[in-house]
Formats: sequence, C-alpha cells, structure tokens
Amino acid sequence: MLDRTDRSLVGVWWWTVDKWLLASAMMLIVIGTLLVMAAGPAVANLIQLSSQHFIIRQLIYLVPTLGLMIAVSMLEPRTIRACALVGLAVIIGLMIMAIVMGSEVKGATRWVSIAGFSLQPSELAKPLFAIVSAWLLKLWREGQDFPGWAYATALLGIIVAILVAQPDIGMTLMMLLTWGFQMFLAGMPMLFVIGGVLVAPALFYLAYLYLPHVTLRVDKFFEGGSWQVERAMESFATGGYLGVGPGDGRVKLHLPDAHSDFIFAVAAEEYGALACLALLGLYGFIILRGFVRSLGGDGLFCLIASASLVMQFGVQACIHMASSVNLIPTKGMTLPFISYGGSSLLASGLTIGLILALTRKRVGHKYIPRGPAHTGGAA
Amino acid sequence: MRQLLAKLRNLVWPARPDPAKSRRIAEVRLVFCGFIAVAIIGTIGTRIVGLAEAHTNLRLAVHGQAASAMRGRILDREGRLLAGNLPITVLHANPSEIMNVNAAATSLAAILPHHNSADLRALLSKKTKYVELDRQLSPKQHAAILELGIPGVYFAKGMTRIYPRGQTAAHILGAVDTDHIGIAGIEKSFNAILSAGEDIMLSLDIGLQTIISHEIHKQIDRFEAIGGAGVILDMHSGEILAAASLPDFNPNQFGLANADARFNRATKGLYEMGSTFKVLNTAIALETGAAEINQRFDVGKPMRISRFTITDYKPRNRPLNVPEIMVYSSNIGSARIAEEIGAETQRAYMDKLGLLDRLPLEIPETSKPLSPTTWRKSTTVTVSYGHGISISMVHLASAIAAASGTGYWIAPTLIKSKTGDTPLKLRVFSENTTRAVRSMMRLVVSHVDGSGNLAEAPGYMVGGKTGTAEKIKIGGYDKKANVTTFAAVFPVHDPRYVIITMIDEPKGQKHSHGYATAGWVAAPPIRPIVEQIAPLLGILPVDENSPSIRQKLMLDFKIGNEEATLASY
Repeated sequence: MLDRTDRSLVGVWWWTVDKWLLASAMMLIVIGTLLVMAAGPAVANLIQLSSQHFIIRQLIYLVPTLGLMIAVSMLEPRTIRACALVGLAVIIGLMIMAIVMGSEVKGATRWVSIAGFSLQPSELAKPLFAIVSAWLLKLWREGQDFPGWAYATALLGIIVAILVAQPDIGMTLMMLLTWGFQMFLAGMPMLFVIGGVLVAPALFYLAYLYLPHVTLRVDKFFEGGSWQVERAMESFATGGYLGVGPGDGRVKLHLPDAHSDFIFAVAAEEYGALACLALLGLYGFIILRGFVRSLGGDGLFCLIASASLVMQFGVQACIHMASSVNLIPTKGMTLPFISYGGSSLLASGLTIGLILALTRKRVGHKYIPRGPAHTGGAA
Repeated sequence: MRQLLAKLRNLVWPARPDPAKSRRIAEVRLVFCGFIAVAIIGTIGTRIVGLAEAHTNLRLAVHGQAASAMRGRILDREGRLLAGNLPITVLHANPSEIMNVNAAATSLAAILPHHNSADLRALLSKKTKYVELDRQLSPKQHAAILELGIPGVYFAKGMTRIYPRGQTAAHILGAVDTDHIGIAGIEKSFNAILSAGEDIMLSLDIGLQTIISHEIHKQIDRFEAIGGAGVILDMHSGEILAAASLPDFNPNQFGLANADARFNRATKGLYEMGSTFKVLNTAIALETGAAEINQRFDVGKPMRISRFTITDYKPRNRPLNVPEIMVYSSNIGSARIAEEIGAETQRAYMDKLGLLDRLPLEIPETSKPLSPTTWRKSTTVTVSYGHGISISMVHLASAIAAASGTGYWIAPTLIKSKTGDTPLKLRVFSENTTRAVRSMMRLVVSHVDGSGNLAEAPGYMVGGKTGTAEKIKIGGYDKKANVTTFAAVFPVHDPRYVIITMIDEPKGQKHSHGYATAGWVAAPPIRPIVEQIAPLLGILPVDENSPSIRQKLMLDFKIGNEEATLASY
C-alpha cells in the first residue's frame, strides 16, 4: 500500500483519514445496494417500470456519490469553507428555481431536473449550510466582535423560508435542528438552551395544529391506524429474528415507498431483526465515532462543523428507523446510503466526505487542548 | 445598581470566553450529545427486539399453524360441511410478454369455455402486466394450457373458501375476505380458531335450517313481505337448531349481497314483538301471584293511561279470566294484569329473561335491545302487550323457552354443546307456572276463538301466541307496516322446542281476506315446519285426548261460556 512517507495528496489522505468511518460508510453502501436490489424490482413492478429500473439507477448514482465522497474527504478545511459558501449560494438559487419552475412530486416542489436526472437541491443544502454556519459561529467565538450567530440565524431564516414554501417540513426540521445544535455547541448561554428546549414542544404543537398533513400523521400515530406503518410492523412479524430470506419478503409488494422511506421494514422482513440491529449498530458506530473524532478535531470550526454533520446523518437514520418501528409518527425520511434516491445518496456521500475531511489528523496543526498560548483562528 | 445590571446582562448574554474556554464548552456539550445519541439508539434497538420477540410468539401461535393447516371447516351439529376449502388454479397472463396475441387468444378460447377469442384478444392486448383469465381452472384445462406453451401465461395455486350449502345459514356462517380473514358471522368471531386450522361444530341442524328457511320464504312470497326470520331453539340446552333470515345471500359471493340481504333479522334486527309478550306477562303474573288463573279483569271499556288509550281488537263487555285474556289476546286485560305486577317487578323479570341486554351469542351480528330508561306506569302497561321494548327474535325465543318450558332461562348458543355440558341457567319460573302458560298457549292454537288456529299441526301438540306490531316510524306507528310474529312451543305436554316465525311487512291478500295479522301470516308456516321437523327430531304424533297427555296439562279453566272445560279439544 502507500508508504507513510508518501507525501502525495492520496498518500497524505490515506494516512490521515479515519479508516473506521470510511469502512463503515463503504459497508453501508454495499448493504444499501443489496437492499435496493431486493426492494427495487417489486416497487418498479408496482409502478409499472422495468424491474431493473431502480437497481440500474442506484448503481449509476453510486459513481458520482463515491467520487464526491472521496474527493471531498481530501479537501482542506479552508477549501471546504470556500466551496461550501459558493455551493450554498448555487443551491439556494436552485431551490428558488425549483419552486418557480420545478416539478411537483407528491404535493411538493422540491425537484429540479439536471441532465435527465431530477435532483432535490435541499438535500445538498443541508450539509453545506452546516459548514457555512459553523464557520460563522466560529468567527463569532474566536474573532473580534463579529456577530456570527446573527448571520447564521439570518441564513437559516432564508433557507427555512424557501423550505416552508416548497413545503418540506422534514427538511425544515433538520435545518432548525442543525442550527440549534450548532448554537448549543458554540456556547449558547444556558438560559437560551433551556428556553429552546421549552419552546420546541410548543413549535411541534403549532405544526400539529396548523399543518394538516402533520395533524394527520400524528393522529394516525396515536390511533395506530396508519396502513403503511401496520405493514411495516407486519414485516417485523413475518421476519422474526432471522428473516424470511433475501427476495422472499412480501412487504415490498404492498408498500409504495418500500425502496426509500420504508426500506428498513424490507430489511426487517427479509434479513430479520438481528440484521436490523446490526444496521442500527453500524449507524450508532458512525455517530459515536464521528463525535469522538470531532472532539479531537482541529479548532472550533472543525468540531462544530463535523459534529453537526454527524448529527444530521444520525438524526436522519434514527428518524427513518424509529418511524419504521412506530416509535414516532411517520416522517418520510430516507435511510442514509441505504434508501434508493440520487439526491439522498449524493447528500450522504457529501456529508460523510465532509466529516472525513474535517476529522483528518492534521500534521503540524495539532490542537493543544486547553493550552493558554493558543489563540485560535489559525486553521 | 450598575453591578446588578451587569450581572443580569451576564446571565442573559455572557461575555465571550476566551477561545480555549469556548472549545472546552463545545467539547463538554458534544459529549453530552453523545450520551443522548446512545440513549436514542438504545431505545430503537430495544423496540426492534421487542417487535421481533412479540411477533415471534404471535407467529408461533397463529401463523405457524396456519401455514401448515388450511382454515378450519364449519360443520353443522351432525358434522355436515357448511364451510370448507377448495384448492383452485388461477390462470393469469402478462400481456406485455405475449408475442402473438391473436394466436394465443384463439388457442386459449378453445380451452376456456366462458371466454371467446374476441374478449380474450381484448384482455391480452391491455396495457397492463396482469390480467386474470380464469379463477377455477380444472386439472384437465391446466394440462391443456401447459401443452400450448404460450409464453406470458402463468398459473397460480390458490385456496378458496366455499360454502357448499349456498344461501342456507349464510347469515350465521358469515364470509371471509380475499385474505381469508373472517368479516362476518362465525367466520369473523371464530377467525383466530379457524385460521389456526381448527374446525367449529355449530348447534345448527342444516336439515331444520333448510325447512324453516323454505317455509318462511314461501310465506314472504304469499304476502309480498319485505323479509322474514325463523328460529328453532332447543329449550333444554339453549342450542339454536335453526336461525334463518330472509332475504339472504350467497356467501360464496358475499361482495354481491346488498346491505338488506346481509342484515340478520333473526339476531340483529330489533322489533317490538306485540302480543307474544302476553305469554311473558301471564307467566310473570302467575309466578309473582299478581293474578290468579281464575281471577277476572274488567275489559269493558278502553283504558286510558297518560297519553295512551288502550283498546282491544275484538272488545268484550264482560270481565275475562287470565286464560281468556291470553286466548282472546286482550290488550286491556294484559294492561290490568301488568298494573297488578308493577313496574319494578316487571322490569326485574325482563332483566332475568335477558331482554335488556345484548344477546350473548357467538356472532358479531347482535344488537342491544331498545328498552325504556325509566320504567313508568305507562311503560309497564305497554310492555305487557309487547310495545315500548324492541328485542331480537332470538331474545324472544329464549324468553318464551323460559316461560313455557322448564322455567329456566338458558343463554342461547350457536355452538354444539358437548355431552355432559350443563348450560348456564337461571330459574325464572316454577313448573306450575310454565305448565299453566303452556296450556294457555295450546288453547291459542286449539280453541275455536284462539288467534293461532292456523298453526295447528294435528297430533304434534303445538302451542303458541301471535304477535302483530305496527312498525315504529318517525312520530309514531306506521299503520300499514306490520311485523307479524308467532312464538310456538311444541310438544306442549312435554316441551322441548321453541319455534319463532316472523314475517316483516306483509301486505293483506285476497286469500287472507285482506288481513295481514300474525294469525294469518306468521302462524300458518308453523304447521308445515312442525310436520317436517318432528320426524327429524324423533317426535311422534300423539292422541291429544288420551289421559296420559291430558294430565300433563293444566286444563281446569274455563274459556267463554263453556261449562265443560275445553270441549273444543
């Protein structure tokens, strides 16, 4: 393999990147491909497409995803910040475009079409916002009288306004959560933290009162009458611990979103609860490993940025899994790397790539904990 | 003051700490978030284990057996098949895979008799991926189609639920949906047991069921009625031997049945029963001592009670004794007796006879009776002749069984009792009371002035009581829509069976001289029913005037001006 003294870009990358995280992400990609192979043909038949439709597309999406992930993981924080700033500007532009002239899919305008593939720009806005806002917060904490928190909040306001117009409540929630999480890490005064914790349920309640489809889903959850969730729960019934075997599951024949929003249920039925636990464990490992690596990261920016990216990744996975087992009301969220979907895959690749880049060990930039001499802002 | 303000400001918006301290805060807070993450993942993991655990048990209980066994059968009390399973072969095709539609259509049409090549061509040219061509392919057809070797034509093995007796007992059996889950009747209430592969043996006797259903059906046609019901109850065990509701439906094609056909008039329909309640009224009066058999009641003029005026169908201007009140079906007489009984006692007996509660029956199609919430004096009076309380036919059967049979109220059942089973029973009336009541019911049929003469089946000792009630409509009663009922007990000297016949909204006919009352409509089917079922039940005709029969009845009461008791025998 590569020699430790190899100073080329790839060489440095190989010796500094966190191989545990990299390996976990690769494993998820392999598992995801297998699962889309299982659920894809059934769903494709259900909606009258060629049975290989989803598999072929998933494999096509994998190429840019892997490329993006590896390429991004080689970048330096400085480059990342610059790229994210430009990228976010472009994405916000695309999102506005999606509202103005995008195609409506299942009652929301979130998609733009690029070279024959439809893309959901808000999926990419999520990690990019995390980078830009982490930077602003770092400047606030370490710079001179720079009200970064206000800029971050303003940026959040713009993005949330667009998302609500689409409407995309799930993504809005993720953005709010990302912002809150970053503010928390950046040392938001405890009084505000407690206030936020108290205000959040009130916000949920308002959403429940004024957003009809939120009302519906929450009511369904408490009445226990959701058809999709019942099928998902049934898949645990038929699957048991060991599953009915690859390809033999039936839930995918009945659930319209089996290949994306309910792929966990397909896994439960065909591969069993033990496989689901293993998958959960893998996500858990990525989250905790990501947090630990963020703690050792370089400077406040890297810590906040990579921790919040890990949080986004983890929350999305947890929401998907928790809805599948009826712990929370159904929220159509994809399972990162596992669910079918180009934008989702690309976004997951970007997120993991960024985490890998931000948590690389940096020679000569080693952070000295609690060192009084450290002045920060040097990265 | 300024210091205080500074402190306050610091609390809300603390001064920015130095970068190292910021970093330290972030680290501590991130570790805290890590613990939250662990808790969330733990919760999801626990839930996954819980689901797999719970459902593993469920699968062992239900799916494990269901997978190996077919859905259980439903049998009648003699073990005759009422619901079973039939393996079927489904023929279907994927039009997009058929290369030569014309050739395929022509060759398939030769094998499938209910398709011609034109409609097969249309089916096979559809722009879908699935068309069903035949649901019940015979093995011979199956082989012939395999011979053809048409690509894009497929076979699927299936199992279908069949009800070989068609309409007979359809309401009791119910039906299953396409996933073989019971959606009505016994199929629904015993779904868990049936889907575990166990058979259910009903109390029904399909022979008796067919007879009563046939006779009621004839009478519905004769009187242009909208429906009817019939119940045969074994008063010793509480077993329902037949429970028919018309119009009925074919459970093999449940989806085609309309709501009226699906409605079970025997167990779910609630009706005011009219004068059949006089049997209960008399029994309560005798049992509680509110009236003596030979006590006479004034029925000379209509009786006013609150806003009702009670009149008799055929007024008599002399006081009547208890048997006369029953035989002549006097409303005024019954009302007078009820006044002696009193509201509290009457209500208590209605309760004991199960007329205030939902039937404890094994099918979902039951209703809670409509009974008055407060039992006023006027309630007592109207209930005595069967108004102001609505119950089902099976309710009536079990109450009549108690009042004219052994004196016990026994919970009616649709499941065959095992030998040695003692049914749950409640003593309501004494032997003496029921003997007197039976004798009076016999007179309703046998006496020349009785309203149930047309129910007489010579030699079989049928007793009974007619009941005609106007249907309730908004704001009062519908003079033109009657529910006619006949409650029969037989043989009266050795009571064993209760038969209820009900004809819903009969129209007066020429052959009934324009009458549409129970005596003309609901009583006549009793005769052919009894004459056909008695041999099946092992009951032989007897000589009514033989001393051994007469001494089993209580006949020392006078009807009309006859000096000799019951000369009409």
